[in-house]
Amino acid sequence: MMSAPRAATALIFILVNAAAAASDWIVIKNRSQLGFVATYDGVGFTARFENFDAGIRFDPKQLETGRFDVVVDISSVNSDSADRDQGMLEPEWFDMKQFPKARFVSTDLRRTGAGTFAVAGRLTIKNITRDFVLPFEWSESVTGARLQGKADTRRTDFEIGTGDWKTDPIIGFEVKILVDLYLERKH
Amino acid sequence: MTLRNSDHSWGGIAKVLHWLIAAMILGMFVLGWIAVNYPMSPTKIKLFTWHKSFGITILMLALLRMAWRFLDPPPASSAHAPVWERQLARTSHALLYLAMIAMPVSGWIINSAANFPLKLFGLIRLPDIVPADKTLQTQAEFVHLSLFWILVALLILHVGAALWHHIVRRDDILTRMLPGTTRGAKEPVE
Ligand code: HEM
Ligand code: HEM
Repeated sequence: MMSAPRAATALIFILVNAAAAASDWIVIKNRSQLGFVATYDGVGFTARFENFDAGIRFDPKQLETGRFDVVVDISSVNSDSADRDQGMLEPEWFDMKQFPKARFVSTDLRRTGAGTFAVAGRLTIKNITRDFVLPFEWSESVTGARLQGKADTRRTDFEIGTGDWKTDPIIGFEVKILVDLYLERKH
Repeated sequence: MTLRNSDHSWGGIAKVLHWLIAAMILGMFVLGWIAVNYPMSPTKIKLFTWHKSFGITILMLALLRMAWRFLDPPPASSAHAPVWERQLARTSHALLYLAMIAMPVSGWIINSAANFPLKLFGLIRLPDIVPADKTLQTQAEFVHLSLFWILVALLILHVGAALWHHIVRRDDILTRMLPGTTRGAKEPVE
C-alpha cells in the first residue's frame, strides 16, 4: 500500500502530466488525408499530399493553448494521374524545385458551434503568405480524435498557374482545401 | 441518289458515312500531331479536347456504319476481278473497319489510364473504361501511335487501289463511291 501523501503526489503528477499532454496530437498517417479538390476542363479531381508534418496542439476546452503548424511536402502530391502530378510540380504551377514546402501556422482558434471550430492562420505556398481560415469539425473519443475541415481558396492567390493559366479557366480558379486527420494522443 | 445500296452502286447513306468518316480521320491525323507537339498550355488541353471529342464521334459513326453495312448489302464486287484481288479488297476493308474502332478505343484507354476526364465537346461526361494506371497508359499510347502508322499504310493501299481502278482499270469502283453517281458509268450493260 502507498502512503497517503505519496498517493496524492502520484495522482497530482498524473493529472499535471495529462493536462500538459492532453492537447498534443500525432497524425495517423495512413488514415489521414490532406489535399484539395480542383477542376480540369470542368471536371473535379482530388489530390492528396502523401507527406506532411502536422504539429497539432488542440484542446476544445483550452482554445488559447492551441496551435497548428503544418508543413506539406509539395513533391508528394498524388491525384492518381502520373502526368498531372508531374505537371503540377512545374514552374507554372507549384514550382516544386524552388518551393518544395507549403506551410500553415495558426494564429487564432475559435469555437463556432457544438463541435465546430475555426482556425485562422497564415498559409504560405510558393513563398506567398496569406491569411487563411479553416473551419473544422472536431470529434474526440477515448483513444483519439478526428479533425475534418474544408475551405475555399483561389489558386491565383498563390500564383499557382502562371502565364496563360492565370486567366484561362480550363484549370479552375476555385480550389477547395480538404483536411481529414485522424489523431492519437502524444505521450 | 437512293439511300440504299443498289447492285452496282453505293447508296446515299453508305457514301455519306464513308466520306464523312474519311474526312474526319484525315483531320484527326493532323489534329493529333498538332496536339501532341503543342507546348503545354491551355490551348494544348483544348486541342486534345477537340481531338478526343471528334475521335469518339468517329467511333460512334463507325459503329453506325458497320450496323448499316450489315442491314444494307454492299454492291457486288467487280465481276472480272481475280480472286486474289477480291480477297485483298475484302481483307483491307475489314482492317480499315477494325482501325476505325481500335483507333478511338485505344485513345479512350490512354485517356482513362491517365485519369484525365473525357467530356464530349465540353458537354457530355463519358466514363473511364480502364482504371488509372501509368503502365497501361504508356502501352495504350504505343498502340495508338502504331495504329496510326498501320492506318496510314492501309490508306495508301486503299487510295492507291481506288485510283488504280479508275485510271488503269477504268472501271466504276471509284465512281460508284463518289457523290452523285447512282449508276456505275462503265458498268457493262446486261
Ligand atoms: C479515329 C480516331 C483517332 C485518330 C485517327 C487519332 C489519331 C491520333 C494521332 C495521329 C495522334 C498523334 C500521334 C501519337 O502520339 O499517337 C494521337 C494522339 C493522341 N490521341 Fe488520338 N486519335 C483518335 C482518337 C482518339 C480518342 C477518341 C482519344 C481519347 C479519348 C485520343 C487520345 C489521344 C491522346 C491522349 C493522344 C496523345 C498520345 C501521346 O501523348 O502519346 N485519340 N491521336
Ligand atoms: C481519302 C481517300 C479515299 C478514297 C479515294 C476512298 C475510296 C473508296 C472507294 C472507291 C471505295 C469503294 C470500294 C468498293 O466499292 O468496293 C471505298 C470503300 C471503303 N473505304 Fe474508302 N476511300 C478513302 C478514304 C477512306 C478512309 C479514310 C477510310 C477509313 C479509315 C476508308 C474506308 C473504307 C472502307 C472500310 C471501305 C469498304 C466499304 C465496305 O465494303 O463496306 N476509306 N473507299
